[in-house]
Amino acid sequence: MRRGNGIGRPRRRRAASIAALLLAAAGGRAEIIDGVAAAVGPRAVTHSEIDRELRLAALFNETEADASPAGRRAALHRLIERRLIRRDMDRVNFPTADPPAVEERMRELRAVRFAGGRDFTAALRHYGLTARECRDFLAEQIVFERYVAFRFKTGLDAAEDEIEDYYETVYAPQRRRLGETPEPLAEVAERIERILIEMQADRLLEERVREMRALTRVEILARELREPRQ
Amino acid sequence: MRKRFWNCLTLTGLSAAAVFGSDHFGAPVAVIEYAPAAQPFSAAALDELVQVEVGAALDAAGLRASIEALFATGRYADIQVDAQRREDGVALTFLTEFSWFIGNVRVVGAPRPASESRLVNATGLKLGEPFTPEKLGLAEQGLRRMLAESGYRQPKIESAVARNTDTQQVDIAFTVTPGLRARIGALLVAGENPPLNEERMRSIGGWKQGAPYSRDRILKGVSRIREHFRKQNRRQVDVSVQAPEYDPADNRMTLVARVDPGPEIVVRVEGAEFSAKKMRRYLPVAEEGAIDDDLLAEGRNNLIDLFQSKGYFGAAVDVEVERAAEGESVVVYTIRRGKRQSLERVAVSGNFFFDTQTIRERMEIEEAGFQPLRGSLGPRRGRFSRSLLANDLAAIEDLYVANGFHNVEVTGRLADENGRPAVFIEIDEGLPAIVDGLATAGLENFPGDELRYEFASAPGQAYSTAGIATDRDLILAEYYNAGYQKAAFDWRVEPAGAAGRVTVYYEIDEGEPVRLRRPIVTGVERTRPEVVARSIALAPDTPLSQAAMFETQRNLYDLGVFSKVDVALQNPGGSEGAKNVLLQVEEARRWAVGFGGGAEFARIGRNTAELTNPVGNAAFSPRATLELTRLNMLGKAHTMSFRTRLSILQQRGLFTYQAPRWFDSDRWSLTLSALLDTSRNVNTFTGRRIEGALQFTQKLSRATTVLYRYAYRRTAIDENTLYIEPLLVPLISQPVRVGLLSATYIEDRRDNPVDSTKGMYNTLDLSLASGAWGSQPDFFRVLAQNSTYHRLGRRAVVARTVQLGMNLPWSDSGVGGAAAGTFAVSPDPRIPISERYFAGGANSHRGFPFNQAGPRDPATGFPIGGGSQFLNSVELRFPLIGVNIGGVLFHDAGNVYSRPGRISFRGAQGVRAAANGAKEFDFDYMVHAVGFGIRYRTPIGPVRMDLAYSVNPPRFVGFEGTRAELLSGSGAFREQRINSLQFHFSLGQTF
Repeated sequence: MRRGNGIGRPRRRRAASIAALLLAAAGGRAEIIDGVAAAVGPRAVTHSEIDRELRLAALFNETEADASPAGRRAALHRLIERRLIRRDMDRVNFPTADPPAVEERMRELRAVRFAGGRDFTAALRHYGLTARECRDFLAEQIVFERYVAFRFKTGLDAAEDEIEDYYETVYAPQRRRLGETPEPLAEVAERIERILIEMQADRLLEERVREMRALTRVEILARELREPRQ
Repeated sequence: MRKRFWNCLTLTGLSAAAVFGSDHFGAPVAVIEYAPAAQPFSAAALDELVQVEVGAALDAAGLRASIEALFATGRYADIQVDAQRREDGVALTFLTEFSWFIGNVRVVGAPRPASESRLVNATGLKLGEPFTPEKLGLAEQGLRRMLAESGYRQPKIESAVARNTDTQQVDIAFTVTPGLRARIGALLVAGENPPLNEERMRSIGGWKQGAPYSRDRILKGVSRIREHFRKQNRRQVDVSVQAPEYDPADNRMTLVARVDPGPEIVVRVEGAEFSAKKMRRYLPVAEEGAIDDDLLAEGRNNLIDLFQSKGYFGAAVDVEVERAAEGESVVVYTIRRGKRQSLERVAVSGNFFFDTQTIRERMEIEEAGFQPLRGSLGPRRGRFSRSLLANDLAAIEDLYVANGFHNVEVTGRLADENGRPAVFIEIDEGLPAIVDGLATAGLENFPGDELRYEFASAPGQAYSTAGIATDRDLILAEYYNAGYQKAAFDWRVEPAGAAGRVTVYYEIDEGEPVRLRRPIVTGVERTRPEVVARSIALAPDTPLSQAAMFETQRNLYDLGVFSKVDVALQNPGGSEGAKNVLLQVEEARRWAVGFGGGAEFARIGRNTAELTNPVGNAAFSPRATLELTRLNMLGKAHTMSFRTRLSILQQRGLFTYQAPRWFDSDRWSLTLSALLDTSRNVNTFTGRRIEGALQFTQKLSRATTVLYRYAYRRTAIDENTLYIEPLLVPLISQPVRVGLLSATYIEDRRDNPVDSTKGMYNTLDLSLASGAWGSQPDFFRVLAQNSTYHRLGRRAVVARTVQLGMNLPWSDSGVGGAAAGTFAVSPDPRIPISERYFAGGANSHRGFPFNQAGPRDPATGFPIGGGSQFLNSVELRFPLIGVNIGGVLFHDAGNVYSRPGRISFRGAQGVRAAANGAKEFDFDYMVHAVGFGIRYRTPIGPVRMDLAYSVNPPRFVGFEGTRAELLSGSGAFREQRINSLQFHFSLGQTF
């Protein structure tokens, strides 16, 4: 029983514990190996999904996974928000990623992260992942990016005074802090415009996540994954 | 922000593999079990959902997919998987906790003004949705909010949750102890130099100290204060009341109100009389209190439209804004009406595909005078305004576009024609787009080819979005009824090879079909289960059909014993392939008492001694009714009722027992009735009837019904009320028992039985009175009616009806039949007077007063009924003023005849000199009446006034004097005549 005494509400936990104890008493070692960690609408987020999320993040960040309660909570939080956006996509039957695009992304990953002779397969083994899990993750990322572009970036633009303002208040001071001379506004205006559009899209996305959360039943069943104040 | 969705992590040092690995993965699965053992799904269904197989190696992805699939069904609140190592592999146990779903929600103790239904809505708990303890908390919050709005600030709310493990439903009962209702306390008037002091504000707002508090009362007060200032031309008044503070010590609410009256805006209309109400209706600046160019122009256009619609086609309006003083503006609309004219003509040209009548039927603009094409008398000056013209042009364009003419251009103008205004509509139809081919994709599990024959966008048809919408509705309705609850429809159109031809593509995403697990009925307390079960059109393990759900709901309502029937899917968001349908009913109160009153005004008056006026005097008869009904007798959805009616003319008690769904079929019903009735519906006599009847009703189809009836009655006539030849009184006043076995066929294909505009109504009633079933007289009765209704133009209706009735005696007793052609034959005495035909009045022949048609007693002139009747009526019904007032031109012809063989179409009444020198009249002739009527449409049918002129009303010999004088031979006989002019007032169309 690795997680048996920390999952779910008291009654559920009791039921699981009693069942597990009975099973343990019958002979071998009983262990809760997976289960529902949270519900997002009618869909479950499982403990093993959280584990996989941590492994994938570790793989992409070239670090070791953070299995602390805070790390698991953060992973669950990301999964919940992605599930909410997924629900939003499902409402409009947003198309899935096509395999060539996923393969292209996979090649990029290997080229960027595993250049210089690092063994991608060995890394997957190290993190307990499969290439398919990696592809599924990238496919999800691609669809997400496309959806954000379609849903939130369409029609966005940045006004000239906003670009100037950003240049004066953010970009130029930042360059100066780094001891560099800022380029003239005309040279970086296009880049700044893209940044401002990204920021606007982020705001819209955040707002949509809040709306979806209000419309959707989100319940964290695993007590140890709830925020401390909960 | 987006980065956080993917990999913004705090990193620490443990190896993932070391942390998350489990030595069970990779081992063979020895056994899969579930706890508890009894699951909401069958073993086979679980095998389909769980993607881990016994004997195969346990892998994390398969296990995760299994948990997700089980959870997505919505049937589980939690799932954990336990693994136990055994010698032969891993024993997996799915530890499950079931979901609960919301069932019946009740709120007991709802205080006024909050009703139970409003409080139930405030809980936000919806039938069939998943239940969680959090929802219970939210429901209580909703209740407290609603109660607080009604002034109950310290309610106690207790909730009881009853769980039904069989259905996974929870019934939730809230018990509310509302406590004392808060009262209005102090009123603080905020702001500098407030325009109203506290006292005045309380008075205007209705916020008296100590009055019961409610949010509605506060809002009404705000609205009253706003209106108070509006009357002073303060149109931008701002009244606000802060969230009131509650003081629990004295149970009072302190109000803080602020009023800013805003600037004074005077709106004046010159050139026409305009009330304040009318100004607010037509001038947005008067209603909204804001002065901007758009509002000013909108008001100007409204005024032009208004005056054009009254015949001032050249009306012009100027608007000016004057700044009179500080904070004061004056808006002046100046109207120049111009000459008042009549719209002479509406001309439509350029239309080839649609005829002019089809186009005119879609137009509101109308020329003055009678318009046979439109079936309307037409407004006196015609109907025209710029906005009406714009609407009409759009309507014509829509008509063309809906039929494939996508390039149609419709223009219209008001112009002079020979010095008189006329409207010219010009249509350039363009070429229509025709469907060259229709391709469908995705119709895989449904016989779509069968549907295609009904498609509006079939090849050869005009291409239009309206046609596609029709097809979409048709396809989706079929899918929804076949259980494909998530079916989706998409379409596109592409040009085909030839010009003006297109190919239409329909794409259907069928989704997964859902089957019905079982219907679950809750809320039934007194009704027998089999009665409810018979009304359920939902069969377990069949495709979940929306139509069947609606039909079930309708059937349950039709039982007449439920005041509320809610239908919902249990677990609507779950992915399970078979769902329960919840039928939540609320039984209606079983006892109902109704009181009523009314009056009749007609030629129903009669002097108790005088025989002078057989036609009757205009008289007024008040009426009172009492009705007692007991619903759902014995829990069988049977209804028992007792109705009484008391008036000068009638005293009646009627008991009925109605049993729907007789013979275990919804096509059959049974009605038992008992009647005690003393009434004078014929001036000649007052009859007392005791009757019992048994009737089976068989519904053959939606339009056709057959009634099978046995009625047994005893009718006695008070000889003191019988105004006929004294020698016949002892015979006619004999009590008579009549046993009638009858069958009635009814075919009703009218669009609206109350006010029909098309269709037909046929009845055929055959009755047999025989000694074999207790009848004293033996006779055969037939009564047939045929009515048809035809639209003439858009709004006029031609309605006609013909009625033929005959009583055919067959026993030898009494006087025999009379030959046709014999002068002035009396009704066959073998038919008791109470069983004879009487006619005349608002609902039959309007050339007669009520029941005054047909043969008359030769001595007194009072009607004595006949052995047959023939009535024919034709009406032209047309709109007169607006949509609610209509007119009728009618012609009624027919009469009540002495015997079946005496029915005659002769228009002149026969008259001859009797042996004693007096005149003798023959009543077997056809009376014609023409007339005009007005109908005022109401929700319960048209209120009707008819004025009829009878061309050939009957003459007869009446007696001037009393009964005593008639017996003694004194008094005088005098020739009389039914008045040619008859006035009728009634409810409902004549037929």
